[in-house]
Amino acid sequence: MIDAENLTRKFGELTAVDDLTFHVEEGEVFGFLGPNGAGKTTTIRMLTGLISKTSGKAQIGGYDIGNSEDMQKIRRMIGVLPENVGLYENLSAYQNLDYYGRFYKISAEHRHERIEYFLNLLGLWDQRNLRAGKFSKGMKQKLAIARALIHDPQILFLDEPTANLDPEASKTVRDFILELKSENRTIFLNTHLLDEATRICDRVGIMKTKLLAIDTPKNLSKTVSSTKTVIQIEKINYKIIEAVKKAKPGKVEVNGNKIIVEVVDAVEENPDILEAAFTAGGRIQLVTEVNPTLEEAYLKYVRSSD
Amino acid sequence: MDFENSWNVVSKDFAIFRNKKSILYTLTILPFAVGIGFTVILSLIHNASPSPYSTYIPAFNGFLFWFIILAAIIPTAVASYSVMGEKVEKTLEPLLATPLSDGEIILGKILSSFIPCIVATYLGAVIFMIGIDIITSQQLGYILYPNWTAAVFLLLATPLACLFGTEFNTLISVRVSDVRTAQSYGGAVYFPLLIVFILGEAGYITLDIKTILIFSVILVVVDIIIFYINKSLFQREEIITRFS
Ligand SMILES: Nc1ncnc2c1ncn2[C@@H]1O[C@H](COP(=O)(O)OP(=O)(O)O)[C@@H](O)[C@H]1O
Ligand SMILES: [Mg+2]
Repeated sequence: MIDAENLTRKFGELTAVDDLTFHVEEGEVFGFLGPNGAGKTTTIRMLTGLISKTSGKAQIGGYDIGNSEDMQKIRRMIGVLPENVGLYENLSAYQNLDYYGRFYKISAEHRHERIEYFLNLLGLWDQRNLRAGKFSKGMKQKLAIARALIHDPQILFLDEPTANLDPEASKTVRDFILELKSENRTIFLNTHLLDEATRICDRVGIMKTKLLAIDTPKNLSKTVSSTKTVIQIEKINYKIIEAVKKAKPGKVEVNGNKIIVEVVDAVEENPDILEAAFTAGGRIQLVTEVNPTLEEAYLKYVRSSD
Repeated sequence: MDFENSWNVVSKDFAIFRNKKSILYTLTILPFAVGIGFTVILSLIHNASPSPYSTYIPAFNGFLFWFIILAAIIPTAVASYSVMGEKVEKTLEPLLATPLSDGEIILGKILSSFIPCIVATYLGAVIFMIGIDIITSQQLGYILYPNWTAAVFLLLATPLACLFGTEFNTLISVRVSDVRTAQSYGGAVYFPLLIVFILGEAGYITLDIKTILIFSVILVVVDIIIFYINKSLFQREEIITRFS
């Protein structure tokens, strides 16, 4: 659905986006992860035809972003949520959506249906005649997402959709994105929130001017560390530690009364580890699984690029 | 160029203006004040030195010229708000992601300011002409307005001046970053027109049909030039990288 090849954008001397090559499948939620100034917004702006590329190629649904006729077709296929929501604060929620619907030549009746559908879905129907300027940040963000969807686009570009939202509004927006995914839409999402990326993205690209890594959140996490089993013992002693170390040589750490063991397949390996601890006289209080996080992978990639 | 798209921009702007008191006041109070004001001033002058109204007819042209000036300056209040509103609320970025083209936006923006400003100017001019007819017709023995002079002043020069004001203010608004600055620079449209008026009052030129025709030709040229400057400045790349 989205194909970029050596996509590059320079602002004078500054290279904001350098040599991106990636592919996003139809129906995939793809997350672009990177610190502020990484070039995420610039990438979305190039892909949506708002700014030109300096070099490289990109195609959306088989159409070329560099070609103005193709771009006209692309605009009908895509919905965009920019970094700044850009709503008309003096118009009502309903008017904001209706205005956009008209540019896609949606019939009046159909426009009304879609506006009603989305405003209901996002819990804004009762406030449809309220000026958008009176909305809270979360409501504005939801309204702007509805605006991006008014023409039923197959591909969505969302630039930091939950930035500046409170936890509850973030959750609504995230759940909504997952719902859009279930409708088989392709979603390209910028975020600097690792947790968000882990929860909703099928694959993520970690970028900082260049694309540093690209894979599923799970695989990326595994590239820096592995799953750990943490065993909390009532009274820890040397004998117990040695017994565990013997069961899993080279993969054991101790922290206070916790023994931390690196495992590949927890279900397979835990029984032996626990038995060793137990037989050595350890009274086990808690056994917890700690999965590697995307954060570790992210930090590793971003730091190594400095 | 899809005119429906431009018209959508226009009707959206009208919906916004309806909620904007400063614009509503400018568009409604100004024409009434000028139309009635000029009539009252003329009748006061006449009362002070009661020469026949027929000797005033050249002076009436000077008053008519003020409607040309009015048409050029009202857009300062409207155009700046209409372009700046989009900039301040950062609405251009999502707008440019729709199938709307740059040319359709700029046409929409020019029309959304031109239409209410020309309507307001005409409202004032009609009030003025009716007022003059009421106070002069008995003495003159005929109804002065409408006549050919008024037609050339109002139907030719006035819309051209209004377009000039609209385009000039759009141009300024694209370059600066707040409404106040836009309006203070935009008010500059007043000066070239005022100079023409002063030249007329001082007797260097006569504000008659011929002068206004020449003046209109100049306005046509200026309007075309500013339109192209506007178009070259209003490039999506520029807009996105400068204002969002
Ligand atoms: N219009 C512009 N002119 C000059 N530099 C820009 C412009 N837009 C973005 N940049 C620069 O490009 C880099 C990437 O910015 P951006 O794409 O906004 O990053 P992100 O969205 O990841 O925070 C930054 O260094 C930013 O300062
Ligand atoms: Mg950004």
